[in-house]
Amino acid sequence: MDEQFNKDPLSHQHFLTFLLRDECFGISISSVKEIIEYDNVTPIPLMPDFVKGVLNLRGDVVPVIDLSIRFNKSATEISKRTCIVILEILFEEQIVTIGAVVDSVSEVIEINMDNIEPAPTFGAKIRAQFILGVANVGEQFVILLRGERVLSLDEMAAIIEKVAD
Amino acid sequence: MDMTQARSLFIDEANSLLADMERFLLEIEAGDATSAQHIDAIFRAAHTIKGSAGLFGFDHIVAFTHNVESVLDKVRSGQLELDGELINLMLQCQDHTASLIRQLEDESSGIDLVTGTALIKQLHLYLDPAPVVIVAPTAALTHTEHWQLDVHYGEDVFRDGMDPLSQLHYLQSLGELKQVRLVPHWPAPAAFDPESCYLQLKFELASTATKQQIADVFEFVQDNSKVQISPPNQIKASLDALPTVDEKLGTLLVNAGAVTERELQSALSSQKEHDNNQALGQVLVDQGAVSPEMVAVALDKQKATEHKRPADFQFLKVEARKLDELINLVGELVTAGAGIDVLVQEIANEKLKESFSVLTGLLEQIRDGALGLRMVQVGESFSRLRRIVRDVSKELGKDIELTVEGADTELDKSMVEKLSDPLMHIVRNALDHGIESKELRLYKGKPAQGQLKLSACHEAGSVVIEIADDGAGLNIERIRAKAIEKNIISADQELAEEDIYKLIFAPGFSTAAAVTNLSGRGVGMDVVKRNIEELRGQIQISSVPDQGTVFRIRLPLTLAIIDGFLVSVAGTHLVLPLNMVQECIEFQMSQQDNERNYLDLRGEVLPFIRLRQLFDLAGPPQSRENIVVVQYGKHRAGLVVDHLHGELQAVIKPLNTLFRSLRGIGGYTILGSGNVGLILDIPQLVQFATNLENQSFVH
Amino acid sequence: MPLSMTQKADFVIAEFDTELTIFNVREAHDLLQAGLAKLPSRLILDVTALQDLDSAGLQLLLWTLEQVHSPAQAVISAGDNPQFRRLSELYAVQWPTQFTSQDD
Repeated sequence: MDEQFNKDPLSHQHFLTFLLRDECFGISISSVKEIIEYDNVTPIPLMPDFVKGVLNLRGDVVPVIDLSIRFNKSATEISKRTCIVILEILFEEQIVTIGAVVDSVSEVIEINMDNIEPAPTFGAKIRAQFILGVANVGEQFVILLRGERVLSLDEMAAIIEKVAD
Repeated sequence: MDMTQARSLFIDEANSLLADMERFLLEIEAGDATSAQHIDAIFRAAHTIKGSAGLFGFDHIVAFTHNVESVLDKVRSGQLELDGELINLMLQCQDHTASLIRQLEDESSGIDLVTGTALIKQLHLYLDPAPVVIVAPTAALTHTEHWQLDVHYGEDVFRDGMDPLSQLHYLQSLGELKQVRLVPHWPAPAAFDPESCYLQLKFELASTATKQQIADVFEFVQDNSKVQISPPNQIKASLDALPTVDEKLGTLLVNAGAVTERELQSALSSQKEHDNNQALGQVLVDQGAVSPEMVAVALDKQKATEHKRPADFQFLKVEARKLDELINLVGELVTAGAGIDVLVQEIANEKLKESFSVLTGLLEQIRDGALGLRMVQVGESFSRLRRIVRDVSKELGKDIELTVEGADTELDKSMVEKLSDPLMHIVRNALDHGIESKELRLYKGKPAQGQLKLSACHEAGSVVIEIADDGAGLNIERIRAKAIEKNIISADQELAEEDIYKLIFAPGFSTAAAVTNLSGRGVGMDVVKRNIEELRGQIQISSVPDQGTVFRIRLPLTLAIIDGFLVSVAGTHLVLPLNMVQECIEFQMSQQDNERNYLDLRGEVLPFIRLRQLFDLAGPPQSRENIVVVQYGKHRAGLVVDHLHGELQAVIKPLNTLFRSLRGIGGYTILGSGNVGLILDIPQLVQFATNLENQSFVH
Repeated sequence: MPLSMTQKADFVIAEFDTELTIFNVREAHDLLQAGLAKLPSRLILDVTALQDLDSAGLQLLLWTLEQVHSPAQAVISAGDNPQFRRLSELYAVQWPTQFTSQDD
């Protein structure tokens, strides 16, 4: 994994940081479309817990995922600060829009790629393949997520398929 | 209109004409058509294709269809009878023309010259050996201010009582003769017969007469003489001055006076005689009847005419994309309308309500109209099947009668297109495996002629298509054995009859002991099932041994917008297709125990589904619940919901890829409030609930 | 008799009657053939009396002239026969009318 970072031509990248169950996570802003308040999410029946439902984003129906459950934590409690990060990810050669529920959005930070440590093999309670690495920002550790893995549609669709059957 | 566009229009038009042609031929063959009108239509189809192909310079198509047209013309005029053999030939010609058209689209495929030539030869057997004046090609004549005449008299002219003199005299009444040259072609001295004519006369005529008028002068000598009349240059101008009407090249030239009717006929028969792939214009030039420039002018004229065709077509061809865009927009409009509706109800202003209701009425009309644009009759794909039934039964030596019902049932065009392959496959299977051979049928005491019935009808918001045969029926034991052999099921697996039928939809399944070249092409029934499910449809099989098999396909009417009935359960909005909703009743407290899922509806048992339970929605049941009674096909069920919100128009948005496995939900719609509503797929929902229940028995 | 042949000195005069048409061209042809066979050198086709001439007749005249090969010569003598002149004009036929000098 170290090697991968050395090959990265960009020494700095911007990450959107947010809180999930008091832990700080970051995701590359290149895949973030917008951030909206948590509101009007229509539940979809017979879905695994991590699917919160769908949302009307100006006429587009966008599925909303609870990242906390996806990371095997308890469900996000909806509060005033709860947000939905709208992400655009590539799936089967199409840009798919999907929403991720987070406890609150913090800030956009610039991280020097050299400062990113490889993901811990244990301790984060999150499947290592979801994690790009960990960065030390100020006094805090930020877990940087691999958007395309966390939100991998085919994997989620497969889980949903199991539940539906 | 650019050429590519025009060209694709031509291909489109030709294909639809060919489809007509095929249908009419088959109908005549089946004897369920009054021939005269059909023959006319078939002739027109061939004629139109020829004409349009000529415009684009697809000369090989012109040459081929010309032969077809000629034979059809004889049929039309009663000189030929359209018997089985000729119908057969015509169908082959239709196929070949279709393949020529296909080749225009896909230029990588070659032109099948062998078939074409063979067919033309066969066609010629129907055409009389046309009396053709053999004309040696001469150099194109030069053109001046005057008509150029070159008359090479036949030897018998004098003996027949004709005298060129009288013609010259008469021509003098039409105009002024100039540059007369008498050119004798003397024979060997011993062969000279004073009563034979050896004269050739070349001259110019300054006249405003038409070519026909001039040619009429030579009417009585032209049978054994060679008469060439070349128009002066002014004719080009008169060609330009002709009113723009839709005419064939030949007619155009004749009308302009550049060519006589007879020259046209002679050129046409020469085209025929020599299996000539040349365009008519070229033949006329070669015969010296007209100069190349003249043909060019006429062709230009013809093209210009083509563009100015009056808009009296029955059909207007529209790019499918534009139609889709329109329907999308109408969808947005309906959604926006629903949003305004919410506000109108809030504001509660009578005048506003009134004008909004007018607007809503118009919106509905626009919606229905827009959706109607996409609707086509299922019959279109049925007629293709007719051909398959005919060809396949011939090939298999089976006598099969096809009956079609409800061909005028309308269905979304995109569905009809996607339906065509599965239908074809099912029909092929029925012909190949379903209906027995004549001998076997007779042995079984059945009529020798097998029956295949295709029907379509509307049934509670769906379209149901049935393919029924009176064949051997599905052999449960064979299917079972095969499925075990192919490892689709295990040997000890117990299956209900219906489930065994479903095995034929499993990938890689084929029941025919001998794989014929018809059904055994590797595309299995699994593809059929998948195609139908992609259309949100269902397929069912019922079969009775020795009585036949019925494939029943149920499809939603359209893919875009539905009239819905909005309900909610635990805050989730659900839309039911309105045409399936029969009535709404209050769910009595006394019925709300969880023990049984049916109730007594006016003496009838009504099973119901508790959506809150089925969908695992949060919260305890409301104190007052409602039951929506839905009916689809022969099934009736109740759906227990919290609230009834009334009717709405729902623009169906397809489910996200993430939810592709979702059962019982057909799509989303955005409600006037901005919330997302889930559109229920009732048949799927009931099926899902039934499965769940069955599973709970098992466990 | 469509024509009469008379031999005078070194030329033959073929004197046509009033008619030379398809109806008598064969006879005329035969007579001319016979005369041409013993043609010494010059032939005069005298059409002065022709009233009725058609294209078959005209063709025979042309043919006859064609058959006279050098050194023999043939001319047409039409006088002021308007009928003949009109026909000749119509067909734009130029007839030889004078014997060319043998010595030229």
